[in-house]
Amino acid sequence: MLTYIIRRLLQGIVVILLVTIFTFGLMHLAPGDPIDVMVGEARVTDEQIERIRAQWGLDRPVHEQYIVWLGNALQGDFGQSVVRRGVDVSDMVLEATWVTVQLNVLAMVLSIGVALPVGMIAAIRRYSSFDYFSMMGATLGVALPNFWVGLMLIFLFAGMLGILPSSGLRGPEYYILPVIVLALEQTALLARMMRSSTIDVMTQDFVSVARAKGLAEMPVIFRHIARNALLPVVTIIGYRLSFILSGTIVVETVFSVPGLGQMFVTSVQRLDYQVMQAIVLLFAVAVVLGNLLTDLTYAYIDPRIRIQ
Amino acid sequence: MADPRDLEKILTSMPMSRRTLMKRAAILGASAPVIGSLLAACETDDDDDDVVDDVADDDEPAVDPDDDEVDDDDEPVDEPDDDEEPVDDDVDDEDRYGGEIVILGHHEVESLSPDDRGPTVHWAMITNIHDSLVTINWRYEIEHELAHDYEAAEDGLQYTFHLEEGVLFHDGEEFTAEDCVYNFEFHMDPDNATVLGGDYTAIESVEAPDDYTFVVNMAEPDASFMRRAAKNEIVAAHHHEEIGEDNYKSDPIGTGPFMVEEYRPAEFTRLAAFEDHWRGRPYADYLTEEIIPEGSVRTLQMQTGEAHSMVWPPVIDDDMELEADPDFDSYIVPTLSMNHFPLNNQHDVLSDVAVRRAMVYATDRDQVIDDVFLGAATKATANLAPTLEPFYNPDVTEYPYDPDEAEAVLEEAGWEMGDNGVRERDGEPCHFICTVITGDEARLPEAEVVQQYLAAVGIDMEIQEAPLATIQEGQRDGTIDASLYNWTYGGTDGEPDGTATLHSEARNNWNNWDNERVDELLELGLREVEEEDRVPIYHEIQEIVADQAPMLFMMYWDWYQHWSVDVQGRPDPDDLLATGSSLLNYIRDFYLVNQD
Repeated sequence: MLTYIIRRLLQGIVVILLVTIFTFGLMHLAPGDPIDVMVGEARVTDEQIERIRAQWGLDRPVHEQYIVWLGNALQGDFGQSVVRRGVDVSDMVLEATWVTVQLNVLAMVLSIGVALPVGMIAAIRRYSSFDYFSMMGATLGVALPNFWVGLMLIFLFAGMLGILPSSGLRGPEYYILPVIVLALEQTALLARMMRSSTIDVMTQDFVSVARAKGLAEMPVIFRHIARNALLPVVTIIGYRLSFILSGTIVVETVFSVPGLGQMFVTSVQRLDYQVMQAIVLLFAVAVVLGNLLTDLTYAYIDPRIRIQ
Repeated sequence: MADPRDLEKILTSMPMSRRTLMKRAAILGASAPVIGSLLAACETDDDDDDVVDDVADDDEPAVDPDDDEVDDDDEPVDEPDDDEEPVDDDVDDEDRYGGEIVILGHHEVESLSPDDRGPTVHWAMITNIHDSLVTINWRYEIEHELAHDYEAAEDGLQYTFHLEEGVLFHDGEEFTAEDCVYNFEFHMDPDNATVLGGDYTAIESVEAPDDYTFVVNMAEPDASFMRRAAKNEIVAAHHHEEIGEDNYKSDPIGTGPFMVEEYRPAEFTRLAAFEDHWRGRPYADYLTEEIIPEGSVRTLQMQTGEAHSMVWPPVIDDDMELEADPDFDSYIVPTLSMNHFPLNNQHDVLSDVAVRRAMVYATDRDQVIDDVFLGAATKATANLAPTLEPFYNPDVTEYPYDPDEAEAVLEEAGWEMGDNGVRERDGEPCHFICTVITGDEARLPEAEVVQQYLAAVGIDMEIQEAPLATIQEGQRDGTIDASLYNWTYGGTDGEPDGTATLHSEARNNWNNWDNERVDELLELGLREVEEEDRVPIYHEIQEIVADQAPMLFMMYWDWYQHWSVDVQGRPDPDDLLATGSSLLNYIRDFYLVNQD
C-alpha cells in the first residue's frame, strides 16, 4: 500500500512539473505583455517600456525565466505580482485559496448531506411521488446554469426580499447564497448517482441473501446496500474534490467573492504571469491529490482493491 | 413596464429628437429586437471593461470631454430627474456631516499609488487620498489645488508654483515644496521606470527655493505639462522614501480629504474622513469603494440603496433603467476615446486615400449609432471629440452618408466593379481583413453592419477575430490591415496633444500613418504654450485627419455616471463637459441627505 502511494505521488510530481512547463511556455507564447496592460494609454516611449520590462525580468529568454521561477518556487517563493507590486504571490494566493476552500467545503458537505439520503430514499421508494419530485429537481439542478441561478437568487433574496446580502463574504449570512448555488449542481448530480447505484445494488444476489438469512430491513440497507452503492458516488465526490479550487470562478464573480477563481480571471486579464503560474500550480496539485485521495478512499471502502 | 399606453404617452407628449425617442422606447421595452442586440452587448460591456480596460477605458479616469452639441442630441436624459431632485440647498451645514458614501467598482483595486492612476477603479480612491498641484475639473479647466497660484514663463521654460501653507499629510507631517521635488524627481528618474514617466520627459530640473515655492525648469517647452505632470497626485516624500514604491501601493499617505481605513483589494477599499484636511474635513465620514464584478448586481445594489454611484457603468439597458429612475441623477457625456476602425495606411489597398474616403461616405454612421448602440453615442468627425472645446474643429471635411459619392470616388481612383461585386484595380481586389477583438459582443455587430455598407459599394472587408494584444502587436509590425476598438487620439484631461497615436514615430501609431505635416504640427503644438496659439494648430491637424481619413472614424460612446439623489452637493448634470468620472475628485463636497 505504501509503495502504491509513493508511486502515485512520484507520478503526480511529474504531472505537476509538466503542467508548469506547459503553462509557462503557453503564457509567454501568447501575444501581449503585462507592461502594455499596465501602461494603457499613458504616453510612453519604447525605451521606457523596455526599462519597465527589464525591471520585472521579462526581457530574459523564457527558459531562463522558467528556471528562475522553478528554483524560487521550490523554496516556497512564488515571486511578486507584476500588477499588485510589492505583494507576495504566495500571500495573495493563500488568502484567496482559504476563501474558495471554505465555500467549497461547505457546499460539498451540504450536497453530500442532502444528496445521499435523497438518492437512497428515491431508490428504495422507486416510482413514488418522492422519487419523481426529487429526480425532477435533480434534473433541473443539473440543467440550470449556476450564474443564472445565482443572479435569480440575488434578485429574489437581496433585491426583492432584502433578507440576504448580495455580495462579498463578511459574515455567516453572506455564505448562504453562494454555497447554495455551488451545492446545487453537485447535489443534483450526486442524488441521481446515488439513486441509480442504489437501484443497481438492490437487485444483486447478496442483498437477497442478506434478506433471506432473515436480516431486518435497516441493517440490509445500511450494511449491505448503502456501502456498496457508495462506491461510484465516492468516485464522483473525489473527482469533484479535484476541482475544489478551480470550479468556482463563475459563482465567485456573480457573488463578488474574493476567491481563487476571481483572482485567476483577473490575473489572466492583466497577464500577471507570477500569479497565473502559482494558481495553475495549485490547481494541478489539487487535481493530483484529489485523484489520489479518491483511489485511497476506494481502497478503504472496497477491500478487493486493497488486496490488488 | 412596457405598457403601450405609457409608451404612446411618452412618445407623443414631448418634443424630442429621433435618438431620444429611440432611447425612451428602449427604456420602455418597446424595440425588442434592438434590445435583444443590446442584451448581447451587455455581456460585452462587462467583458469590455476588462478586455478594453487596457484600451479605451483606462484613460477614462480623470477627465474626458464632451460637448454642447451632444447635449442637444441627448437631451432626454435629465428632465425627469431634475424635476424629482430634492432641493436640499437649505440643509444646515451641520447636518451635512456624517454617513458613508458607497461607490461600486468592477475589478480589483490593485494599487493606491498615483503611478497606477490609469484604471478608473484605482483612480477613484487615489484622487481622494491625494491632492495634486492643480487638478482638471469637469469642464476641463485647470483648478488650483495644492498650488494656490502658479506662473508660467513666456518661453514655456519655467513654471513656478506657490503652495498652500499649513497643509498636513495624513500622518501629521507638513507638506512642503520638498515633497514636490521628491515626487517629480522620482518620476523623472528613468531607473524608477514609472508608468507616468512619460509625463515628465521634457523637464530638466526641479527646485524648492523655499518651503512654499516650487520651480520646474523645462529642457524644452511642453505645452501639455500643466495637464499631465502638474495634475498628477503628490505622495508624502518622507513616507514614500522610507517604504518604497512597491509598499506604497498598499500603504499610501497623501494630503487628500480621505485617508485609508481598510484596504482589501478584491473586496472593498474604505477611506475615512481626514479631520485635518487643509480645506476642512469632507462631509462624509467614510468613502467606500466596493468591488462588484457583475454589472447587474451593481445595478441592483444601486436600486436597493446599498450604493450611491458606480465607478464603472453596467450594461447599457441597466444604464437606461437607472436614467429613467427618479432616485438617480444621470451624468451622460461622451467619452474621449474614439470608436473607430484603425486602418493600416501602408496596406496595398488601404494606402489609397480614395478607398479610405469612400469607406466613410459608404457608412451610415448615424444609423449604426441608432441601431447598434441605441443612440447612446456621438458621431466622430476627426481625431478629437466634439466636447473638447476650444480645440475641437467643427469645420472640417464632412462625409455625409452617400453611397453614390463613395462609388464615384472609387471609380475616379480606378477601382472598377468586378464580376463578384468586389472592385478591382490592375487585377488587385479591393479587399482587406478587419480583425476585431475576440468575444467583443458590443463591437462585432458594428463590424458586421459596416461590412454590409462597404460591400454595397464594392469594398470587401473580411472579419476575423483575435485577442487585443495580438491585434496591437500586429498593428505595430504592420501585419494587421484593420481593426475596431476605442482609443484616444488626443484629448485626455483636456489636453489636445495626440502625439502618442498620430505621430509617425509613435509606438502606438495604430494606423501606420505617416503624414509629415501632422508630425510637424504635433511637435509645434507642444512648443506653443499659450492656448490661443495652440488652437489653430490642433484645428489644422483635425482638418488633415478629416481630409485624409487615416482611420474610419465612427463615434464617441456615451459614458453614464449615476448618482443617488441621496447624495447632494453635486454639480448640475448639464454643466459637465468631461465624463462623470471627473466628479470622483469632488466627493469631499458631497453630502448625504435622508440619513437615518
